[in-house]
Amino acid sequence: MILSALLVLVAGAAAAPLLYRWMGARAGWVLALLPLVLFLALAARLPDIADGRPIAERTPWIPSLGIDLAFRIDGLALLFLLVILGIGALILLYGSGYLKGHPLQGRFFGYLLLFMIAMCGMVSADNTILLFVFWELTGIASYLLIGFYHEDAKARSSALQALLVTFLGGQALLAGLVLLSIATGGSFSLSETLEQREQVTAHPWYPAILLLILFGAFTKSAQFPFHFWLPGAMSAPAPVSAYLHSATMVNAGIFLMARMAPALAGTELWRGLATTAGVATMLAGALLAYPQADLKKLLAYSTVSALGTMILLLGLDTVLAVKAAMLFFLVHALYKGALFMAAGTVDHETGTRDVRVLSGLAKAMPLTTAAAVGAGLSMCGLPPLVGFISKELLYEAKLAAPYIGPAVTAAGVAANVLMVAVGLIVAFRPFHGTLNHTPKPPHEGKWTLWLPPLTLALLGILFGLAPGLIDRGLIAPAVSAVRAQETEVTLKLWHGINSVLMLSIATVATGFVVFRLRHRARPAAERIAQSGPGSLGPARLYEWLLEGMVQCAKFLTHTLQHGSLRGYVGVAVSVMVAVTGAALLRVWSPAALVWDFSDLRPYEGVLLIAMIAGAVFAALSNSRLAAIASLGIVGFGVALVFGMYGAPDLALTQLLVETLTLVILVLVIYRLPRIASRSTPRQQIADAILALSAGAVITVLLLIAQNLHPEPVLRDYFVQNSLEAKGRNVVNVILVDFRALDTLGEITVLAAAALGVGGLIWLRPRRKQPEGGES
Amino acid sequence: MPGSPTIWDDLTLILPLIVLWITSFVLLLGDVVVWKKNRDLNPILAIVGTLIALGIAVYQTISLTGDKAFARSLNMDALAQVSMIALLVTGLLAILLAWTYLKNRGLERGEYYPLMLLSVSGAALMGAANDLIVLFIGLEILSFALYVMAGFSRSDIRSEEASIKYFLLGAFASAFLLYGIALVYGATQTTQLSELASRVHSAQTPMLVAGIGLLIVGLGFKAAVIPFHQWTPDVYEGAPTSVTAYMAGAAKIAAFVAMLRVFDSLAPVSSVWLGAIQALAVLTMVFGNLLAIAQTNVKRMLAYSSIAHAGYLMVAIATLAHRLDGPRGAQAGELAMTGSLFYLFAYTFMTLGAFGVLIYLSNRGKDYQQIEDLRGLVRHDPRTAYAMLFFMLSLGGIPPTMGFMGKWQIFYAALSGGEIMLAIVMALTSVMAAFYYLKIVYVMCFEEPREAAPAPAQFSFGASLSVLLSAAATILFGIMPGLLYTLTGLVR
Repeated sequence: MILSALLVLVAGAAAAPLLYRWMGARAGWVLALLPLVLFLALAARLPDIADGRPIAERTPWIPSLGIDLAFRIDGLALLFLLVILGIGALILLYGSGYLKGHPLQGRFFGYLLLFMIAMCGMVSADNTILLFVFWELTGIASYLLIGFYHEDAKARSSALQALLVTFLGGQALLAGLVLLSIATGGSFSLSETLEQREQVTAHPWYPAILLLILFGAFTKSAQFPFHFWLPGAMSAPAPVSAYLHSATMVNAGIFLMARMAPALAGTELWRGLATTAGVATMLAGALLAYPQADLKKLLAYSTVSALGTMILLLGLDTVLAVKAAMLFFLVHALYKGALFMAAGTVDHETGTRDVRVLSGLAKAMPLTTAAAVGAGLSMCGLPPLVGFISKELLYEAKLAAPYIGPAVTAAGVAANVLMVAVGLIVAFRPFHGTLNHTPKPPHEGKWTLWLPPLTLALLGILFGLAPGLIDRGLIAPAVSAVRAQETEVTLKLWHGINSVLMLSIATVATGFVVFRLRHRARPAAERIAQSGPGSLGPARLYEWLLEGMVQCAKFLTHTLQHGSLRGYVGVAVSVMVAVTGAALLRVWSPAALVWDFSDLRPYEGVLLIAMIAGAVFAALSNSRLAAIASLGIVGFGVALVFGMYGAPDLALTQLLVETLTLVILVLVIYRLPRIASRSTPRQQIADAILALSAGAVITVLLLIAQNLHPEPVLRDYFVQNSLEAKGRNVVNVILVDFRALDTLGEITVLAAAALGVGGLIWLRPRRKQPEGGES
Repeated sequence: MPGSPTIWDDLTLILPLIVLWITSFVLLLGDVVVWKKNRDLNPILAIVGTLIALGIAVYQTISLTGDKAFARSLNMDALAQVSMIALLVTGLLAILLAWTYLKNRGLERGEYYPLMLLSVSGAALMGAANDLIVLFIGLEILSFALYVMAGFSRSDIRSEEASIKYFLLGAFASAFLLYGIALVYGATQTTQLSELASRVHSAQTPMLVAGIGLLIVGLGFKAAVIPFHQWTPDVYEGAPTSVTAYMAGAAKIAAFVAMLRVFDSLAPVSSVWLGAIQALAVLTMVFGNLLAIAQTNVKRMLAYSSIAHAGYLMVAIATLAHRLDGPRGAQAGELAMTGSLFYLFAYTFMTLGAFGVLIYLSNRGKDYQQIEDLRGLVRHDPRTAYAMLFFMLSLGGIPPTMGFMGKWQIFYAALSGGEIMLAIVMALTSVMAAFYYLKIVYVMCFEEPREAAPAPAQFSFGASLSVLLSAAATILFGIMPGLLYTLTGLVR
């Protein structure tokens, strides 16, 4: 069922451009039905899953490697799936209005569905490799989404930046997952792996596995210091930002941590890594968000902060913290999705996103205002919204954390104060007060532009007033899946007056004060950003690295790939010398060399000297002809050596080949220009050294080869067996019997050569045509 | 000996090669004597011959006997058969590409297809060699045809330069290889690979060590492993694109299947060569990918990318060293074998596909070679742009493509074999690779075309079909790798 559901979505993605051609922007409405139907179908299965009966299926994929298309929807997957599909349907609707008239809107729907498939596949995968495939697919789909629908040139390079950073994390994740599977005995099944907690945490590779997997999660979820790609990627259009960069894709890292928690969590390393990253990101995101003036930048950095909070909660690794994390994921997706869409609508209808310009839109855009305010209140954590419940739970979890409770609570309060301020800036500032002049006269957008954010905002209120709707059915199964044990979750709006409530009140009050101070904070923040620390951020480091790599590559290409054949041959020979020389040195023993020249006959010595002289003269000669002639001496010398050592046939062949080569070379050289320039003395010295060392290595090899005394088995064999093959003449027998196939081959070669010659002869008349061949 | 194989059994085993040889001669003769004018007959007959050979090869793979032929000098096992299938598929795709390319450039000379078919047979011999001498002969058959083909565009000085560079450096490589074979023979008294495995252990002499060193140098040249790679970019750029495409696929498959064979039988003395292979793998992955980043010419970029891919395959070779280290090592060795074969299939599809896109586009009269030429391709030729997108994703090893499936198999093999260091380098350099492959996607998809849409490409059957087949394979085997795995999995 899961696989077929994914296939239905694939069909939808493929059909999207066609559908768009047929019915225009309304194609989005039709396509939104796909995720909606799946959403409802899944919601219907909610009670089953809440009772601990996950939907699971398995189709063989590469059976011999133990990789199946295995899917399993448990509580955790269900929570994510409902968010992905539900918000996905709304985004399709929203996108049909937001990008109306965009020439590539049809493809946009296609990519959005592709992305949805990737997300759904990732959260429901029950095989680590399958999970990874979908994980990477989300990155590719987002790359295409951002790249195609850019609003400025910078958006495109940010898309590449986002992809490269997450791809780096992806590679780490792959390594981590493969190591994990090897550590658990070669199984790639996720549910099997998750059951082997003791084996995993006790394995010597555990630290490496954890580091790699968390690295993947942190890059995807924009954790400090990799947070910089997320605000950059926000230059994508509003539907993409709302969907990818707040509600779904950036939560993939959160999902991964939660998914892997049963096997990997519960160690000091897990707690240390995740809380550190979480706290740093939470604070950094909040601090960076607060002074921004662009609606989307505000939301982007606040998302970074929220992601940090979730990682921190998962890092705390208590039941309470996991509950808080799961609830906060849902709450954040609801309010941030709504706010992004509302911000997009404002941008769409007024032409600006600058909060210093926007003001008093409430009258002109009442429904968008309602959506933004509803979501904003949830973000600030005010009752009776679900954001309030979530924040209460958050504080409770942080306070209850062992050892580090006070510290993380303080950090959490600080971040939340700033979040309240940001929430107020985003959700109230543009709508409150008197109407300002904007590039476009503001008016309410079409229904597709306000209905989706309003729906999400209303859900925030609904879940706040009736938390019973989600606690047992949705949050509890998710928490159970992460903790790998049955867990009860009961959410209430009112807990009575306690320390958590006091913290909440203090947060909101301080947040309001901070909100009023924003005009003073902005210039100060800009000064910091332009001075030292601001220019040393990780984003700069990334650019610097990339630029350095490109420059290094250019330099290396220039120096290594100079195109000179002399250089190439030089490298070839020197590597040979180095490799063989090194190999010889490793096993060196003087005894391996045989210095026995006792059977050297005088005429052999003369021949040797002649050959050496020939080689030296060939290298030194200024004339090509002379060089070739002296090379000939070497060649004929070799032929003679063959002859002397009992291989007359070989000698004959060598003689013929040598003669032929000589003739051809002379013919070729006749056509070459004179030697125009010679190597510089320095080059000549280098060449000489290289040549001598190559000669030395070969000489050593020859001396070693003197050890060899191969037995002449073959000759005796032929002599003994030729009679058996019914022949007296050994040579004849060899030709027609022992080596019949060789003879056949030789005949074939001769025939082929004859054909070739024939071809050349027949070709002659056609030479008059222009492309006949060389003259 | 009763029941000993006759010459016919031997010949039957190499029937696909015989078909290739006959086709070559028919083409050579037919082109000058029989059908002088109808130049389309050349590629058509070449395709027919290759298809017949492919059919036989597939049939023989299904009814695999694993026999050794010609006095044990050929080993027609699964590795030989599957690599032959890969080579024939490469040849098929390359013939289709050449059909379009040669016609547009007036290069339709009759010797092109015979040369190609002969080189396929040489490459297949390398893949089937159970004897170092046969391996060398196969290598020479492959290489000589390639030297000539690289210089096929005789009026183009760059093509000539490519040819002469390739020839000279290749000659050095062959000499080193031959010397290495001689030394290995000297040390072990055999050139048969299956014998070698049982003899090397007792023969760890300086001669063997030096011989193995020279084998590495010689094979490294053919496989374009750094630092023996320098010919690659110049030859890839200078040779006619149809030749480059073919050469990239066939030479890589042949060189690595030969390496798999050689180092598989040298596994007992892995301590001799493992360090060298590891060092070469790291060098090749790092510098192959790094240098590719700086390229502005797609052909050159693909040349460096082919070097980088050689680096990944070297990781598999290094993993073979652990074949004899207990059950986990054996499993890793098997994975490395099957994984690299899968990878070679993937490599040939995606590389020929990428070159095919260039050839298809160059059909418009302008030669598409620079990355700049691809600007905004998705606007005026979306289908081709999407095909290129798939090839780039696949080359980058990004799911859900075939390239990923191949790469992770090698990655998995390396990690199970304990080559952690190499796996790390592989992962990190993959990120570098993603950068330049995605740059092409970026240029194609996100940048505006610089000039008005060029005249639509005239329909070219060969290139279109070749690109289509490659793209289909890249996606199909990426999503359903099990289909191909039934083939590559035979090699255990």
